[in-house]
Amino acid sequence: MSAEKLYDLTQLTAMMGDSEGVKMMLNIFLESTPKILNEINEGFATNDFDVLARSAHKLKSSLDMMKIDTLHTVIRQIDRIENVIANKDQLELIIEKINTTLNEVFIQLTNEKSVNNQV
Amino acid sequence: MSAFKVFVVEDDPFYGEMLKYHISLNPDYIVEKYETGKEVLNNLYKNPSVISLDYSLPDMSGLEVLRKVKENNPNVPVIIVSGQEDVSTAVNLLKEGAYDYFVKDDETKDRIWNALKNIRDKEKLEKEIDVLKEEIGKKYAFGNIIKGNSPEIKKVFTMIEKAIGTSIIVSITGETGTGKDLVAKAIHYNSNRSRYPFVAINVSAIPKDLIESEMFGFEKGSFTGANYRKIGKFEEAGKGTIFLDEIGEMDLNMQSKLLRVLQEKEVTRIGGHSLVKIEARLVVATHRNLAEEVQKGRFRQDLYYRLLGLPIFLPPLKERGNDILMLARYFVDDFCNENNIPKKSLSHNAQEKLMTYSFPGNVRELKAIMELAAVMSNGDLIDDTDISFSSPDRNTDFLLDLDDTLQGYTRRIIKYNLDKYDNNIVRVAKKLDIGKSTIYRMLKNKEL
Repeated sequence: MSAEKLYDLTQLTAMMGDSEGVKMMLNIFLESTPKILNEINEGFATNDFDVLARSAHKLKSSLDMMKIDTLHTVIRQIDRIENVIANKDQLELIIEKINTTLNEVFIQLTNEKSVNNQV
Repeated sequence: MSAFKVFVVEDDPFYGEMLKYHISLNPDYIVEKYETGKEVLNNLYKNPSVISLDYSLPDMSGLEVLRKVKENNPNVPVIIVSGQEDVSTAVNLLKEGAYDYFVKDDETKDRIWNALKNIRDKEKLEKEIDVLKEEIGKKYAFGNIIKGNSPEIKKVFTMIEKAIGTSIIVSITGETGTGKDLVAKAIHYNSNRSRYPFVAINVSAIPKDLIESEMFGFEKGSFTGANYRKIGKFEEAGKGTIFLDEIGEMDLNMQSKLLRVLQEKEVTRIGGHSLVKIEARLVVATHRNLAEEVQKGRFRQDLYYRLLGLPIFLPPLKERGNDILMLARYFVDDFCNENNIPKKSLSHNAQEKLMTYSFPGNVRELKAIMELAAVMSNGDLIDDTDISFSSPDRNTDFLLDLDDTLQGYTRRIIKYNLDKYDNNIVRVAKKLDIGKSTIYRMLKNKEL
């Protein structure tokens, strides 16, 4: 994975108004997103498209707010059950892309947090 | 003002927390966050002021939640926040009663912020309107608007009470200044229609050519100058009360149109085709004797019977005996209170002067007389000299009162002329061709 930053906090900062608010939201993101990612993976593993679509839908607005642009289109390929069915053949690739990107985002965010805390 | 409670319903914990944080920046808002439809429905008993609802929830759709919220309380505004840009879904939700529909994007927070502000402002205005309506209701409570203990006025009270309990048409008759409009308002504001509008039309004040459009409204383009659609007064009144004052002045052509509306309980705006149902209660008033007007061919007989309903006759003030003094004291007290001046009472002579006057302008005239008297009197006592009658036909009615002695008539004639000539004894003596000493003697003996 490249070292390029996969997220952009400009929109979130504008929304929250102060760094305390941003910090709080990043903590929530790091806490809630892995759980939703887990739901997506489980849905995929058990062929439960309903769970898969609902979890992806749940994640969509968070990804938009964090401006994780590489997943903008990808997440929309599975955010509704009809979209999941339409992209059934590519599901594995889509799920993999989401997992690798988000795991990298978690690492980058954790690093950014620790750097900020040191400062 | 009670707390403005905002429910944020969002299954994405990140987005939900962000909305909660952002909305909570306004210290006047109390925000509660829920992640499922079931959760929010179970908490509706907390009476949210507004609900921000994610369209796609894990357990049910936004539409289902919206319907259940509206079943519970149709007045709670629901803002739908959705990740989908789907116009048909948005239109459908708005039709179902959603307050607004926002797509999650960069501007969502500002849109929600503005929507909450608008909803809160509207809520404030509605509360203010409720308070004002309540105050108007109090103002028009029986005891506050119609004062009197005479048997004549007590009959009026009885009739008003009967009118309040039903939707029967009420026809109020009485001389000018007896308070016909106040009775109409008392009926409205004490009835179960008080939450709805009270719409009054003074038939004599509106030009003949305009009365129809004023009463029934018109469609855009229905005549030259009809540049917009206008709702008529009958429609405007909704489930409230429509008060047609001076109904006796309505021309025959308009009378037949009104009769048709009353029979059909529907109106058609001028130039329009669709029928609008009339639900308002009708109260009419006139200073004329409508039965006589019917005989003279100036008022339609069928409309007369249709309007008769519950007749309430307001007696002239001169027939209400001691109510005159009671009302005089009330008007003085009220005036003194309003103007922050010390309370004033009525001298014996002032009372006598009031009791012998005919009050052609009735209660309205008495009010004006007493307010002027309160201004004119210097001390805490209003004397007869502070009271001046301005009515054109002054108290000449006493000449028709045959139940008096010659001495009584003499006293009244002298008193009348003293009033008329501002107590100029020389002038009055000359006018009546009597000696000044006669007047001085009568004054000394308190005969005047």
